[in-house]
Amino acid sequence: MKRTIKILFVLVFVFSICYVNHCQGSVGTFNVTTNSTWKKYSKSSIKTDNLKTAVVNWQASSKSSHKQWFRIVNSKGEAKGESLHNYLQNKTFSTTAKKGYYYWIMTKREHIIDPSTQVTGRWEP
Amino acid sequence: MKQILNRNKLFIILFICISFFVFCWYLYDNNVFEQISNYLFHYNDFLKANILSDTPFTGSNFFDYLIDVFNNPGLYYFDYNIIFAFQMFQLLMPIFYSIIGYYFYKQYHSYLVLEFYRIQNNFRFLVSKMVINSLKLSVCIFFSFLLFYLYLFIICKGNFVMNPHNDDIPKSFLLDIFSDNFYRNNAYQYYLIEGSIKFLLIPFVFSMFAQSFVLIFSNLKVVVFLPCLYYYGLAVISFIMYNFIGDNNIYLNPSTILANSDYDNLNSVLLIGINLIPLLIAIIIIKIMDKRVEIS
Repeated sequence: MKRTIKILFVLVFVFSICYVNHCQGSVGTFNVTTNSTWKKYSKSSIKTDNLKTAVVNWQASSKSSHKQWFRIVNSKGEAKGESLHNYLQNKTFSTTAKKGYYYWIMTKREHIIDPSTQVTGRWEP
Repeated sequence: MKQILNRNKLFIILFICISFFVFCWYLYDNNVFEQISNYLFHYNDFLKANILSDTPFTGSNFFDYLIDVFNNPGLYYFDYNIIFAFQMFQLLMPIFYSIIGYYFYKQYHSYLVLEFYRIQNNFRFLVSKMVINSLKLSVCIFFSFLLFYLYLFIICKGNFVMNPHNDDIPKSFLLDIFSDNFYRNNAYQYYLIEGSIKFLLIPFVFSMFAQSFVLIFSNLKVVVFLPCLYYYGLAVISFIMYNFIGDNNIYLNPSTILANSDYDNLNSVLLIGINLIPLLIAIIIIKIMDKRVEIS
């Protein structure tokens, strides 16, 4: 009996770790040097829900007040949603991304003649 | 009619080139060229990406694929595309000013000199020529904007990335004068007013500025080079000034007005006012050179 309880306990523990990892799989982080052309962050993120929204929260190395465009693309480079974000804005925007598929985040800013900025943050397709 | 076309050949060619460039940049910015080149030249990579895609291409030939590419919703957003199709103008504008400087230099050193003999008020004649040239260039740039504006107005059918009624407003320029509600209720009119400042007023101001150098310098290279030096030089100075005046340095950069949606809480009057300084410099140069032209 004790052995069965131990096995059950181990199984629950393993499943819970798997579940947490699965949930965290959809929340990605990014760290990219951005300028006026779309820069794609190399790591993808899988969409794990059926919501028609994505979330991006970003911050920059320079504390200037510029805004940042974000775009979510699929493996073919088709845009699945885009939005303009203010500095440190945790913002939800609509996408046409589908559950179970991988997506990439791209970012850029409008002003060409301005130094490039290191942009970091979290996102969820 | 033919005479008018011949006389304005440069501006007609510029209008065609600008319109073509804007349309190509719009396609490039929406990954159209990248997707087509992947299909044509990197077919294996395209197949791998297609398998992983949430909307895989199932057609059989290139034309089906073209239809698929042009179904990309990104191509049909009014606000995003009206902002980014003209993004390269931040770099190209001084080149247009150099072209108009070159054009006026050639006029000034050829038939205008002959005209001076039969016209009593040389100076007024010279200024009117400068104003006409500046108007022609700014109208040529503005018409390219208007053409693309109409294209987006028809094709986008009210689609906005940032919905004017529900989302954040992507713009702050002019809204300190007109208020946010103006954008929410009249987004199309807003972009038209903004476009007329960016592509009609600013090119006019800088064209006058570029042409005024012809009155001072007799060297063509200097006349062509100086508008670029002023534009890019001020951009560099604005970066340096960041250490002294912080975020206000953006007002010194002549390209800021063309990329105004990059910034929040802009002071529109200050931004337009600073961009009118070249016109003031041009008027001062014209006034100083006035007497010299009359004497010569």
